[in-house]
Amino acid sequence: MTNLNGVLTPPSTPSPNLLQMNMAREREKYLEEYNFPFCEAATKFEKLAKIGQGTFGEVFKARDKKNHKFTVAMKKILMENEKEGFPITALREIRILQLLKHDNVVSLLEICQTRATQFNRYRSTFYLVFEFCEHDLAGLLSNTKVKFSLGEIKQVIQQMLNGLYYIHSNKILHRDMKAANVLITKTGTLKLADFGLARAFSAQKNGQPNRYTNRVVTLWYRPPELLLGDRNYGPPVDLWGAGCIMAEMWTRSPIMQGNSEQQQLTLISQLCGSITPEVWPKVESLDLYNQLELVKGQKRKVKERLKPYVRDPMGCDLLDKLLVLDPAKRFDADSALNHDFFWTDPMPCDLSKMLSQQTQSNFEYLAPRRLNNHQSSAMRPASTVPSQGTSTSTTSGFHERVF
Amino acid sequence: MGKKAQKMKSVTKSKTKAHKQKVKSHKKNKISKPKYRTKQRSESQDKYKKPEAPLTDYLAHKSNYIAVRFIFECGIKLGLKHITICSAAVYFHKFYKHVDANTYDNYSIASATLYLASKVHDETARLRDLINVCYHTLHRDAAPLRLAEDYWNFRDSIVHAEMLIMRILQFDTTFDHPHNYFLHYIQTLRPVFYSKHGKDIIVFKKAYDFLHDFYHSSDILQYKAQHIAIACIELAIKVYGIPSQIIDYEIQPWYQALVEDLDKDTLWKAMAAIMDTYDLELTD
Repeated sequence: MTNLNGVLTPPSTPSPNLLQMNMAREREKYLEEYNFPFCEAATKFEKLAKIGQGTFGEVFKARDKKNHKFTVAMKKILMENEKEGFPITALREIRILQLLKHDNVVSLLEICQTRATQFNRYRSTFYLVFEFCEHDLAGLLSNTKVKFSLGEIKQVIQQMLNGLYYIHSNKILHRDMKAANVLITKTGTLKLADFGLARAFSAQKNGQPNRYTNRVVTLWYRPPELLLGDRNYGPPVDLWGAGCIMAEMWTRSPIMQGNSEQQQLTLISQLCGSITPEVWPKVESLDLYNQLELVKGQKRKVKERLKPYVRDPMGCDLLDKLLVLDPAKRFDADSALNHDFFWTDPMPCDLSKMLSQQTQSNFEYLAPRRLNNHQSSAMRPASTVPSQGTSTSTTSGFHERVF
Repeated sequence: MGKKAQKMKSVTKSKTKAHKQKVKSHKKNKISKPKYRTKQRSESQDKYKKPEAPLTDYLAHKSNYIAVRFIFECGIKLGLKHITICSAAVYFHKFYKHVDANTYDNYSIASATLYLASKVHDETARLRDLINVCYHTLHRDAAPLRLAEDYWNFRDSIVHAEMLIMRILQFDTTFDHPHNYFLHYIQTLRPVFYSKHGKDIIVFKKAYDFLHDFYHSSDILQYKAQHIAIACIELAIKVYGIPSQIIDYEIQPWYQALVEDLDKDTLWKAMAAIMDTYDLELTD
């Protein structure tokens, strides 16, 4: 890396072109041959299949070439702005993953790289290597053959809340809670994944409110405070997502599928009641409160509309506590875990037996049917949404679409 | 790799003849330098206001100590938080723990660690600001850097160096800084060492100075964060000799109430390491 000497070289001493060309060639050869002592080559893994794709990049299933039984998930680090050096988002993700060590959080095994060659303009690509999880929740829910008993649902939700409790007590916000980011291993352990949008949070510093970006969380799982432009938010943003995911365990598809921020807010109001200062005292101070059109006169009907699916009064009650408009009144992970839902019969039970019937991985990315389904239902105007589906729902256990 | 490095060096050598002469002339002046410094220091202890330290000619020196001073100077100019600058110093020491000291340019690595630390601590310095600050700290009288080839080369080299540092650090940018413990200990200790004349404040301030100066030494990586914090406070107490009626070292040293796993030997080693940092200044 000869060019590292750049800063030392005195200014404006132009060297002959020939010398420069030689230097460039030498540098290239040097880069190609350089062996980084602590960063292994990605070629030690063999890619098996692509299992995810999104704004964050691509995720592959891969196995160790030396030990075929050892499978991993490899996530490519996107170097979209290479002029700024190592992307700050990736830096955050790596730091957060290194900090978090918990059964219900996906674990980062190592980071590996591809060799620099002339074909990638001497810039290596980096991969985050994770333990492999067989399923994601969105994939499982879209597979009609997968059936969860009430005890199994409790087990899933409890593990998810355990994971959230852990990351929140480590002062981390996930900021992208959705079913596709909840992984489940074949032995039934749930893992929160994709910390690409996560960040550390703190209480207000010197009385100054935090100014985090509010352009986070997938729209369908985005809580009302973010939709209204709050920049001083905290753990409750993840608990809203947890509530949406919990409801999805019964409804089998995302409960509020808006296609714009405005429509998402309307859907939320139709379920949780109108957003007013009476139910949410500080809402008036949010930036977009006066700019967005808020539906008036809606009554809160969370229990009423989810009861036909959930059919468990405790479950309904917990959902009612999670899907609360005012983030200050929303349950935190701790109080959710203490809810009677997890401490009444049927108690949370092992998932491994049910999952052992699944011989194939269930990933949202590999389930095109569900994707199409999403699109079609998301396109429907908001006004047709309410309660048509609910009347039939008491008889059969599972539904393709709701709301 | 070694061969390569030599070759690279020979290329740059021809370029930096003028620079080398600078180094020589500086060495001649050096004899008088220590005198000046010691005088200055004795003054600074009595007077409330410190005289300004002479500006360091970084290009005349090549040592990790001076490079960390460079990190501190640039970091302060960029308005970065203390903890960010300290992280940069830690990355720098970690990097040179694994890498041959002569393979890479000290100041490029130092600039890149500063850039990396600013990203890690969520107060990203603009790369252009960083380049300007680093460049003008190295070349104090130089004309403003134009957006030309040199600028783009610096930019490239910092970005490359950052990538290299990330890999050498094994992507681990976490470090347990003594600062949190330090603050906690000070808050606990204040009533114990309370002095009417505010002497306790002076002592604790000095302890904080020791802590920051210790980042100039790679020994910062050797000790536990808690132990470093205690060593800084203990050293300051020893230097100023503040008495406390409540504490009897014979029965139980004060720090044992704060940390369980610190024995006298380790503490003395850590304190010696802090003091050794000040010798580094003279041996470059």
